[in-house]
Amino acid sequence: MIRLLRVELTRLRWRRAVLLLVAAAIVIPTIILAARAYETRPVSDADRADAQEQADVELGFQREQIERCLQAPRQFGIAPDNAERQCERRLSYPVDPEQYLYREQLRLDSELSGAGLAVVAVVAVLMLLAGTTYVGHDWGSGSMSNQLLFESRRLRVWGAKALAVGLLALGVGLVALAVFWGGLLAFAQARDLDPSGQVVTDVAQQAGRGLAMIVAAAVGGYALTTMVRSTVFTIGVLFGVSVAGGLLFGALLPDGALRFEPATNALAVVKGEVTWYVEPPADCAVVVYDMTTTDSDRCATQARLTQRGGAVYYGVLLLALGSASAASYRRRDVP
Amino acid sequence: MSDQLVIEATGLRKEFRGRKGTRVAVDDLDLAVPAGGVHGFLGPNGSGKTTTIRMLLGLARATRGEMRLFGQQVPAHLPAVIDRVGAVVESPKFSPHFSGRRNLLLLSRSIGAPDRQVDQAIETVGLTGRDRDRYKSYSLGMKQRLAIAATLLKDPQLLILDEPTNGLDPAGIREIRETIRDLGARGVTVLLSSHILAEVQQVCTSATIIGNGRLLASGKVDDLVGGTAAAYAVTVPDQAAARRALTDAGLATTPTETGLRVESDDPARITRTLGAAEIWLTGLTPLRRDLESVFLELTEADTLGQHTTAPGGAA
Repeated sequence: MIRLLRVELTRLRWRRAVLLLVAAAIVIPTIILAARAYETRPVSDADRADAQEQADVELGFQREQIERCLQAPRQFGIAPDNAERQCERRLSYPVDPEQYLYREQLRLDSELSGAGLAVVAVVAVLMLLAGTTYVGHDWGSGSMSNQLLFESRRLRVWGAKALAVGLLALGVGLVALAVFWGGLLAFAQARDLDPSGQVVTDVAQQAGRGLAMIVAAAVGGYALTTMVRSTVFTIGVLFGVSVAGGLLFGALLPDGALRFEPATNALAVVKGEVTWYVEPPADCAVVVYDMTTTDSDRCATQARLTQRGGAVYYGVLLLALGSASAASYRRRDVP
Repeated sequence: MSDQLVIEATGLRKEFRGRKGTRVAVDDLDLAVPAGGVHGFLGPNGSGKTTTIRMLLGLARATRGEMRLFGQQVPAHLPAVIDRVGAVVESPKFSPHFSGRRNLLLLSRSIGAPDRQVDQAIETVGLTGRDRDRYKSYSLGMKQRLAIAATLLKDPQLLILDEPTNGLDPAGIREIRETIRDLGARGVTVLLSSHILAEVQQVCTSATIIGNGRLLASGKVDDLVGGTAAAYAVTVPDQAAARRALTDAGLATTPTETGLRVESDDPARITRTLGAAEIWLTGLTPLRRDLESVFLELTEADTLGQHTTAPGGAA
């Protein structure tokens, strides 16, 4: 098995499409990191000078308007006898250069539900494509049959390939998340914004859960493509599920569709919990001002999905897909 | 079942189920390939040769029947014998973006063979110098050579070759033919599936002919084509006189471009008859049936639904 695993890892390493996806999975989080670092950069002297300049322009415009008001007060709806006092009162307002210096501050806890999720989503999709294209190529080129002429224990081959894809996703996910979160942490420290120990713990936990989702996406992509034997078909299935799946769930379960949507469950796993608004039954004659204020569970206006619920959803999905894929690989004729 | 048989299949059947119903590709086929030598596996396109080979190698599941390789039941015990079997099934199938060498390295490493085995295999099939080029840049002949190189990575005791000379130039065909002969002489059992019947006749010691998924004939090539000639080509200076003399002696003759075809399995009678008429032979050549004519007779008869019994073999 170790020998097969090494061969599959070598095969992955030699696949150019996989290498491109791996490169993208490292580069894109780095770009997101750079973008977040830039958007939250500290205010510089140049920024202050620029803000002062904008404030001066604004003050000049204000002065100009007051002058015009004094010359033609009726155009501003002011009686001429009272113009000097009223023009000043109506058109004058305080202008502070600070108003032009608004800059979001780097906060790791905010990034947890923002860019942190985006990074996990991007890397997961790229690793799913890596798992898909890796085995899709084996089917497309026909080289799968050649491989089985050298190792006929099909489940071993399936397992070695799945393990190789999982290890690749684990390694790439680890690097991508380490680059992103490590970079943000370094920027925060460099800006004297030392995050609390709790935030660092939250980041580590979310990164761990994100990593699990990245590995699951890669292995899931591999398992599905091994079963349907085509990269294009797999991408079609995933696209179909993402478009038609929501509509189908919506039609079948009008009140609980979100609970079963892949994105909701993925969010629950990575964030730890996800909540959304639900319409209470008509007989819940309660005027709800606060979404969390309900008279009973039945009349609740907020649905909640825990990390455990999401993990069970994906666990069952992956187990079913993996079993079907391995069984199909073991039994079906190989072209 | 005998220990001497390298490949044994009994009552083999393969059905393909599709939208248009069930198609039977192999129907109650028995196959027996003895150890050593080169065994031809013949049949028209779509007769079930490749399907049979794929079932033997575990790439396709038999609907029914029993198969053994080296006495081991397959596919159940295929892992125990697969290291002794090298095979090229249909067209060569490798990763097009990898070089020939990389493709071979992946296969050899999967069985724990040393990398130098790859160098040897590349040299044996004459791909040295092109082995680092991408597979997709190879000609069909080079792809075939690479596929044969892959079979040599295992140092096999049984080689299954499905149309191995497809796409090769005459020199390449000759090389492969010699390689197959050498392997057979070294004790490797070769199952050679080919459409080039003259080639099979040159290389193979025994053969199996199938049609519509069924066994038509099997046995030694000499037995299949018939051990003795049933007709002779006669060359004489005076063709008309010779024809009269032979006809008078009760022998059927047919004029040909070079002389006469005489239907007889007794050359002495032909020479005696002509000698008595003072006609002196300049040539007497036995006209044997070749494998192609046997193959065409059998497969055409099978297409017409006739039952055929092959000389010296099963039917």
